[in-house]
Amino acid sequence: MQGASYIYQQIFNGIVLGSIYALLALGMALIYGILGLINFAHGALITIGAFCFYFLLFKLHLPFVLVIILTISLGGFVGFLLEAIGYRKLRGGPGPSLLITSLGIYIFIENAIKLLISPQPYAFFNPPFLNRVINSFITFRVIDIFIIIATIVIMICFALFVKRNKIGMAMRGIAESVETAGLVGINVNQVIAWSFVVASAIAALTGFMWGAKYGQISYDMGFMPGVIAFVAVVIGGIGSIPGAVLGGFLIGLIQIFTVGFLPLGWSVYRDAIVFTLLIIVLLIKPTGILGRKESI
Amino acid sequence: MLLKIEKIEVCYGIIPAVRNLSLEVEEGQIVALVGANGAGKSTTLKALAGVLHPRVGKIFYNDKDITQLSAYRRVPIGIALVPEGRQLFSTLSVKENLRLGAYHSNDKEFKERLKEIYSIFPIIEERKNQIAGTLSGGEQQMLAFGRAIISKPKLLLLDEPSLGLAPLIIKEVYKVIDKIRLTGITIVLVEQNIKMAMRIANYMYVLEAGELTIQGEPLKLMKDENIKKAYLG
Repeated sequence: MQGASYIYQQIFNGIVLGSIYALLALGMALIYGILGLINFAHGALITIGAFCFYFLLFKLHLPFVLVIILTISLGGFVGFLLEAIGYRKLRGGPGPSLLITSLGIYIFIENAIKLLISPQPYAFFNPPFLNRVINSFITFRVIDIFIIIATIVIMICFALFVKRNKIGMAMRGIAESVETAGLVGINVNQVIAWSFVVASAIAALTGFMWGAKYGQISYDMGFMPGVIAFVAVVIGGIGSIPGAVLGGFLIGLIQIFTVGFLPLGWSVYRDAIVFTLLIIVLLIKPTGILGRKESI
Repeated sequence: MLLKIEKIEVCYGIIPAVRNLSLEVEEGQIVALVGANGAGKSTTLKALAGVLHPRVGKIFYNDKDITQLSAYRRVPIGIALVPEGRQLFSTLSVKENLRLGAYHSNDKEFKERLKEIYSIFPIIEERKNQIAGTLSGGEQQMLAFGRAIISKPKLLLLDEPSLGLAPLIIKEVYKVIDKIRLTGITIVLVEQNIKMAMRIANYMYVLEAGELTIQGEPLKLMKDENIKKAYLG
């Protein structure tokens, strides 16, 4: 009933959506690895990034590249504040206090945006060049290519960062043992702050991607992607960054396939299917696809 | 005097593990803290490294009060710890472990120091790209030494370097400690194996239940009747 190009089209769409989830999941996995915290506030950075981009580009009419840089910077700065104000003092305390704080921060930011900006969704008009449609074997817009390329670039930079850079190495060291990291002379507070900056800056950029892809932004837009990114982290194997990225792509593909290949009425269940997948993975392999074995 | 501890009390929570402890370490010496399990040796060392902070008393390093200085700030001023059980970053490579040991120096300085470490520990160079967790016990201990020494310490704290190692390897480890001493690094050694400690130390402090009981040069202590009875059998 459907030709090969239709299948390729769906795979392509899945990779685009999966890219966004993968970037979010990468940041979440980084912070989970270091603090053992499921950072629900991560989703709020999507919203912040999207609105920041919207105002700078459409209200202040700044150039596109500058707006991207400013959006990433603001995300990083908010991440720095989150850690310094929200989490630092709670570290070493009981795990749930961090988790509940992160939920509280999410709710706070969501409502602040609702109150200060608008409870109504905003239409997100792309700069025209991003909307250019390219028809070949499959059909796509420039923004789709932008998302994929940006994702690849960020992943390569991130991999190099944790492999070659001493701060990145220190992140991996801290993920193993905070105490030992301090003993060998690592300024643990500074490195943890950096991981929040990196994760949040990436999340802010995905806010722009989300808005540009779906043409609409709203105060609560970050919630679902945030939760789904968390599911990606769990499916991929909690504690494993490559696993989280894999989980993100997997979920992107599954959601698109749900819409693209199942009967029309099924598309409303795309989120439900993700959670069903989560339950199945947890039943079969509780550590996730690439997760290390942990004794419970 | 490189290091001076004045009447410290160190607690875990509210339980004091070390009480009223004073000791001194001269530059270039190996000073051993010995005693049974739970005597407070490791606790003292943790206070020196900055993992624990004394509730009472003061620690002076080069005549500077460092009692409340955080662990990570002590490394740049020349205090490094080789922790009990080695505590390597087991998922990182050997070279990455060394890089983190030299965290406060830049890439260029690190490269120079790496050469020095490789010349002291040839085995580390052979294994440089291996994941630290896959090294043998002896190799891990060498890497733990390397990771501490690469920060150019003046004072090296060794917490039970022979723990969990085979007798032959322990001999190797002590040869290395001797080698380290010859480079001019002052060493504070915590050891349960009192015979091993006696062979290498210039001065010894014996701890019992959190308090200092006897101190002196190893040759003198060896003749002490109480020591003979309690530790040498």
